[in-house]
This record gives sequence, C-alpha cells and structure tokens, in this order.
Amino acid sequence: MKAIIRNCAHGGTSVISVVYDKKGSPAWVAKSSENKAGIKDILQEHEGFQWYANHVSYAPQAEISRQTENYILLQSDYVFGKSGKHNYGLLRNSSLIISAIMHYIAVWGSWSKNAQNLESAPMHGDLSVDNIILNDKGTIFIDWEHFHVSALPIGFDICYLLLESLWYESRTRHGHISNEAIYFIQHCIRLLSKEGCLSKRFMAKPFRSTLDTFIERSELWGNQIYKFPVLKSPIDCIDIIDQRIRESLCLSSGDLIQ
Amino acid sequence: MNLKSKTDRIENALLEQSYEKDDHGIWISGNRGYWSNLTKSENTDLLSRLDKTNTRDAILKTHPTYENIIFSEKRNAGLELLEIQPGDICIDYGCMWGALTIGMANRGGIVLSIDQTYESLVFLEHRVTEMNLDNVVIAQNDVRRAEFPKLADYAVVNGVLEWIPETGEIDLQNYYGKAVRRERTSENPEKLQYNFLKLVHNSLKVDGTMFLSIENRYDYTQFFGKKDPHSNLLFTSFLPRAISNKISLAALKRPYVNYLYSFKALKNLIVDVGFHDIELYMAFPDYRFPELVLPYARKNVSKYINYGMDGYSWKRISATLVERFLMKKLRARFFAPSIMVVAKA
Repeated sequence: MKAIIRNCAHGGTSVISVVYDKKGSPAWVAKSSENKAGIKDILQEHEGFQWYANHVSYAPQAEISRQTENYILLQSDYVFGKSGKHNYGLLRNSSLIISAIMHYIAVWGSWSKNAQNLESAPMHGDLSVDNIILNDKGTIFIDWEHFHVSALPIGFDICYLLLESLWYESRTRHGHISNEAIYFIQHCIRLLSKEGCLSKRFMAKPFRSTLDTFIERSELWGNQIYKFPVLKSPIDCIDIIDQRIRESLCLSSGDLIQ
Repeated sequence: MNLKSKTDRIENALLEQSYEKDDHGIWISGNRGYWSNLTKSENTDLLSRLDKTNTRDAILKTHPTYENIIFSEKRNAGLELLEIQPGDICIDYGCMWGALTIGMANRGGIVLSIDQTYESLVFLEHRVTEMNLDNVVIAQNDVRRAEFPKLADYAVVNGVLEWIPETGEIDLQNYYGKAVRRERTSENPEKLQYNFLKLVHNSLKVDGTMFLSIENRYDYTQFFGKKDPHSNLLFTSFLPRAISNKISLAALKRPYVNYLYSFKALKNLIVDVGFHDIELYMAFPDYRFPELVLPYARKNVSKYINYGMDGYSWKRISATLVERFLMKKLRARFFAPSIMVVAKA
C-alpha cells in the first residue's frame, strides 16, 4: 500500500509517496514526475543520494526504478528517526543543529581533503531541520532534490540552516532575537570555521552572504526558490546580526577566524 | 511483445467489434453520445483552432479556467497507487480530454482511451500528436457498451461511475443544476453501475487491476452546505435516495441517479462484481487534484498531515479547519471527501 503525501507542492512537479511493507511499516519513499524539469530534478536528487552514499556508510540507498521519456520514479529507503520542527526555531532545535554541523564537518571535511576548490563545493540545497534525521546510526541528511556536485562555497548549507532556523525563531518571538540565539550562532560558525568547512565568503557576513548567494545563484533552485521562507520575508535586522557575530568573534572585514 | 504488436492487439480487438478508423485516427463504434463541460458550439470553436495552434494555447484562448483540469500533472497523482510498467495495456474508461490517458502513456502503458464524446477525442488526438506519444489508441463509444474481454492489465474509471446511470446527451452548462426533464430508466442506478463495473472486470486479465475514483457519499463538505457535485442540489448525495429522488424531481424535473457510496458500500459493490484484494484510499481535498491520499485503514487517519490550501476564502479556511478537526482529532475517516480504489480482477 502507498500513501501520497505531496503532490506538486511549492511549484514543484513531483509526487511523493510513502510505500508500506506487508506489516504496514514505511519501507520506501517514492518520488515521481512526468514533467521534463521534474525528471531533471529527480535525476539530480539521485545523484545527490549517490554522492552522499559514497561519503556516509549508513546513508539511505536510492535507485531509479522506472524511467521512460516522460516519466521517472525514484525509490529511496525510508529513514526512521527524529527530525526537527520548524516552529521550534533555533534554540529548541539546537542539539539537532549541532549534530547536523558535526555531520557536515565529517562529510564535507572528508570531501575537502581532496578538493581543489572550496568555493565550488557540493551543495545539499535545502538543509532544513525537517531534512535532518537523528537515529541510532547517527545523523542523516535526506531530500537531496536540490543537490549540485559543484556549486557553492563550502559552508553554505549550514549557513542556510542557521538562517532559516533563526527566521522561524524570530517569528515565534514576534521579531525578537535573543542574545542566547546570537551566542549559539557564533558557536556554530566557530565550529565550522575551525574545521575548514566555512568559506571566507561566509565568515564576514554569514547571513547576508547566504541571502546574496540565493539571489545570485537562483538558477540552482529553479521555480522552487520561492518556497524558501527566508526569501519571502527576510529578517529585518540581518546585517545587525551579522555585525554582532563578527564583533563577538573579533572579526573585522576580511580577517579570518583563528 | 513490443509496442507495435500491443497496439496491434488493441486495434484488432476494435476491428473484431466493427469499429472503423476515421481520418483523425479515432476508432468509431457508431454509438455516439455527448458529455462535456463545453456546449457543442464551444467544442466546434475549440477544435477549429487546433489547426493553427496547440491544444494548450487553444484552451488558454477560449476556456482558460479549464487549463489545470486538462493539463495539470497533479491530476495523475492517483496513478502512483498503481505499478504501471512499460508495455502494460491500460483502458481509460470515459477518458474525456485525456488527463489520465496521458499519465498512463507517460508511464509507458499502451493506452486504449474510450469516450462517447467525439469532440473530446479529437482534442485528445491532437494532444497525443503534440506529445509524440505512439502508445495511445483512441476509440469512441458509450463506455457501457465498450467490451474488451481479458484485454487489459489496468482499467481506469476516474470520475465516471456516478455518471453511468445518466441517459441522453449532457452539456454540463445547460444541464448541471438546471431543470432538464429526463425519464427514469427501468434499471436501478446501482444495477447500472454494477453492470458497468462487471464490464470493466471482464476487460481485465486475471489479476489485472482497476483504479476507480469517486466522491464519497458522506463527504463532510456536503454536510456544511457544499452542493452535490453532480446535481448542484443541497444534501442529495447523502440523504436516503428516495428523498433525494423527490428533491431532484421537484427541482430538476429528473430522477436522482448519480449514486455515490460510502467507503464500505463501495467496497461491497466492488466485491459483488468479483474484484478482490481491494485497497481503499481517502483522497484530500478531492480525487481530481489530490494533495494527500491515505490508505483507509483506521490507523492511517493518524497519518493525516496538513497540506496547502487552494485559496484563502473564508469558506476554504473553514472547511480546512473542520477537516483537520475531523481527521486529526476525531479520526472520522468515513467523512473523507473522496475515495480511490485499487482492486484486482
């Protein structure tokens, strides 16, 4: 039996189903499309799964189980575990975010050892708290629809994760961003930078640079760029937050974090 | 068996039943009928434009509100409940403009598309040509008389069963909710629907699959003032049929025949016809543009998740809140708006 859980949502052209085994437990996630752009996106997602599986031994497996000229069906393992909730914002998702950062460091750090250009790193493209799962195997990133093997400076995905979580945090607190949230973001940025997983581009102005990157490279997300809440209504004080992060890390423009 | 031999097999089945192929490549039975959202003159105008423009542009120029109904990929989501493989023979009963025909053809199925309305089939033929699909055979016939014993791997009955008991030509603009006198047939509507499902059952190979979708008789929106989608009358879908019949005769001068069913009653009907391994699904907000489709078993209502609303009118918001309360809090699955069925012959 199947359940269809999403049908061409957010301007997309794919149908997402959960396939159940005979006992009624979810076994696979199926994603399909009859649209040329959707077929291209799903092939890209498959590429993402494969790249991830090459770097993480317990990564979910994915295969193209059916493909014609006008249709594609991708099946990937259903991943059990706990994911984050958007409406928890930044601080209530903090342990999940830290796990995601450590996992990012492990995976992208391993990639970066052999990489020639950290400014053109692989990109997940939609690293939200609901696409991060914690289970007994570890941390797992799912939903690789916006993957690109050589796209944006290293660290973009985590900067986006922090920015989006902050966006939800500010919404739940009526626009207020606490000092605690700022300290947490500083800690995350410091972690990333210490491990060589944050491009210089994001060090000076993490969130402004992230937003600018979205706009400059919008073609990477196609029509679905409009689903990202941080673009629909950006946080007002984004530059002030960047400045606070920079000041607290004793950074002036162009300096590296030690 | 390759593509050509499978389409030959379908065409041989049509020839055996004295269908003849016309200049548009449509196989004609001689049993003409009409059921369309468009009037005949609107259809003529639409088709006249197809020599100069493609089907989508013709619709955008003449009837832009129908663009999504005809072309949206969202309409085919229900086909994901099936396992259509390239080369499977699929029959689309009551295909109209071909939304599900195109979906099955895209999946590699060899599709026999049947409809009584010739004009709809000419439009579909243009669509198929534009998309370079060589795996679609189009036939014109009253679906109640279109018999193809043991031909198909899949049979699709999408929004058709409730119209089976209707008689005569139907141009919805001048029929839906309008007083158009019709005499009741001698057969009970349920019996007519049973007979049609029997024909569908017989068209399938052993263990072939039927996919059927229809509104739920007890769709919760019907209790909150949404009119019956077939008669445009209040409450007729769920009232006792004798009462609905009296209401219809009084308001529309014709008997109430567009029988809908509850989940249980529909399953019983399908079992009586001879299908087995029946899977029932709840479709939200409806089967035409489903956002969420869940298996009907009790535990699966807990999987109900919020989905995006189509528009933000107070009616849509209220209906959404009621639906979420019914499904998430009360687990009242029997009030789901629409039913999808997958069943084996």
